[in-house]
Amino acid sequence: MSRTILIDPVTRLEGHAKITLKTNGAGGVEEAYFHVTQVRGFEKFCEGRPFYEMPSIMARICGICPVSHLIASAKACEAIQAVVIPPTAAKLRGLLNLAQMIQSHALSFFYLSSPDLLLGMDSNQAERNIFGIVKSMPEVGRAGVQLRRFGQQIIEILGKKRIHPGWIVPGGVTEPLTIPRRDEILAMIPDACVSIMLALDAYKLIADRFQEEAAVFANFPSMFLGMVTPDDGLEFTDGALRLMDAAGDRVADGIDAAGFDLEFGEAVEPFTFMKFPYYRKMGYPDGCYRVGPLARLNLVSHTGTPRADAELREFKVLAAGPVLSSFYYHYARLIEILHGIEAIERILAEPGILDTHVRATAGVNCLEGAGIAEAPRGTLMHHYKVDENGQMLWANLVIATGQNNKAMNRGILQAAQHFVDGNRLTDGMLNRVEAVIRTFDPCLSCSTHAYGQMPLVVELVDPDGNHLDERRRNG
Amino acid sequence: MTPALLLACGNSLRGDDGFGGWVASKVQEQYAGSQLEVVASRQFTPEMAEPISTADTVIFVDCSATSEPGQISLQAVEATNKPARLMTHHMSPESLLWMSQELYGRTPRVAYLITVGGTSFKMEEHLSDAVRRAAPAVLRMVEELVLAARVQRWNLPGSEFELEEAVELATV
Repeated sequence: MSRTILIDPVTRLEGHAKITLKTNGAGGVEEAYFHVTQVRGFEKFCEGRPFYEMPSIMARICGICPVSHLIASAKACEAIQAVVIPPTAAKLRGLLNLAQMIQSHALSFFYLSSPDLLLGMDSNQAERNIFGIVKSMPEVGRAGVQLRRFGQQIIEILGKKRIHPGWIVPGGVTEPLTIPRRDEILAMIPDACVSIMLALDAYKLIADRFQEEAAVFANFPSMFLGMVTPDDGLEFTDGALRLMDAAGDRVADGIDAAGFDLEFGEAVEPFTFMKFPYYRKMGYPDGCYRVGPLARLNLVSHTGTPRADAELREFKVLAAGPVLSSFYYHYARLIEILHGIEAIERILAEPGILDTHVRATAGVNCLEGAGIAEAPRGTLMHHYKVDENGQMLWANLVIATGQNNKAMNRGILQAAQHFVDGNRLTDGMLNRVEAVIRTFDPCLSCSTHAYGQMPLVVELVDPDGNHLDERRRNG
Repeated sequence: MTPALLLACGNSLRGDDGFGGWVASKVQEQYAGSQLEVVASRQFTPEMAEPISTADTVIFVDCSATSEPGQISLQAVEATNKPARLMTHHMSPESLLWMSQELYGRTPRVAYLITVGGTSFKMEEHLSDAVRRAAPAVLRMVEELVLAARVQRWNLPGSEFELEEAVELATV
């Protein structure tokens, strides 16, 4: 008899979701669905507001990556203004985006995923959390706390607030960098370097133990999308997008914000509120792709900073072409943290970084504008239409997590078919299904928007739709 | 060593939940330039373990959804490693003290949690009447705890501060 296994809530994620696994009579998994049960309303309720309010409103979408929303939104507004921002403002925004990436990646790796990686997928569920890490590996716990604080403190130093800073505005930033603030950030860099190197060492020590997971954690050919520099380097804030196929060949290149909607469409499915972006020329679902740290490192030939470049060379050894297993999002995340620390130090040393001309102003010069940035979880796009008075008529957001939606659904099916026996459910089996989702570090509040606690359900249903079993984690 | 650290949590867009942030802003004005460090946040997060480990006295301030509206509670807090629910990035004061000990080998000499019972957590930016009425007493309570921390640091007579005195003062 077939069953439906419900995992509800999926834990250690940002947001609310559940997973349904449908089994056949022999206990094998035949279908898997990742349901995002929140609803987003931002595009609708911003209608009628002045466009220049969008960065501060849109940044409220998320408490983890508000800086990326600020940047994508400000860039969309600048397209409406047809304004070019001062170069120093662009560098400072880039610095803030890197700081946010570091704190977000530290949260994902240390707080959410390191319990699985360092304590084990089958370890005691009661201990498999950040407390377990602190207890058994305090040096790793300290590194995680230190790196998250590092990113948050930079955001606070520049933006005055750790969450939802208002420093980034259409036209640039509100205040220039001062010498004391620059020196305060520089003073934190040596400790941050020590922490990330410790984390990389810890990861490399245990990575080989997860060969079986790496083989089935969303390990399949797909395209990858992300921002690159003109010389194929890693870029988070100001660059064009590249789409690469599973063989490493470029499918599309030089895609800017204005061209995003022409290249990418969004499909919907009845089982989730999260959309499914896809490359239009290939249609849905063949045109679905992955974004985020794994995609970004697959797309570039170098990061542009020396220690991260050395790590990237090791990363590239994992596969002859693009690294296809989503398990390696974890490794990519650590490499990006290292790159971020090095890049922040480099930006702060650049001539002109203390320049006081950091904002350009203009009124409404275009009735439509779009902006892109790399959020920690991948490419983020804001697209607005306004009337001649600058009132918002329409908005659409394409969120990083949504662009991984298809891959997450395929990934949980692949992992469930390998690990889950519908006749004999264990915590370790279901934890591995959840862990596939965690590799992507989805931010569900970001991609659909709601409020409340994050719960998850795994449900077991038979072929006739009869509910057989369920694992529920309360919010 | 920070003589006193005030950690306030809550969301100013959710009615009485913004009480912690309100207290933080008032206290920050009152003690500008002094050795009281004030951190206001939406949640108590693991990163707070580090500044906690270098403080002599820590005062947590939050709004309670379970206490009677306007009811003030002051309690001493001790370290425990009982996980907060779901274990993502929200932690209890007790867990933060435990993390401080485990990660940095130190906890504050004393730690207190002040809560006020809230009555409305709707999408609004003002405090309910019950919480507003309790606010002056909470500020006096914080003042007494900060004073006690200073007295302790300077090793002056009167360092034997009694928790009950603060409660008594706060309820005058």
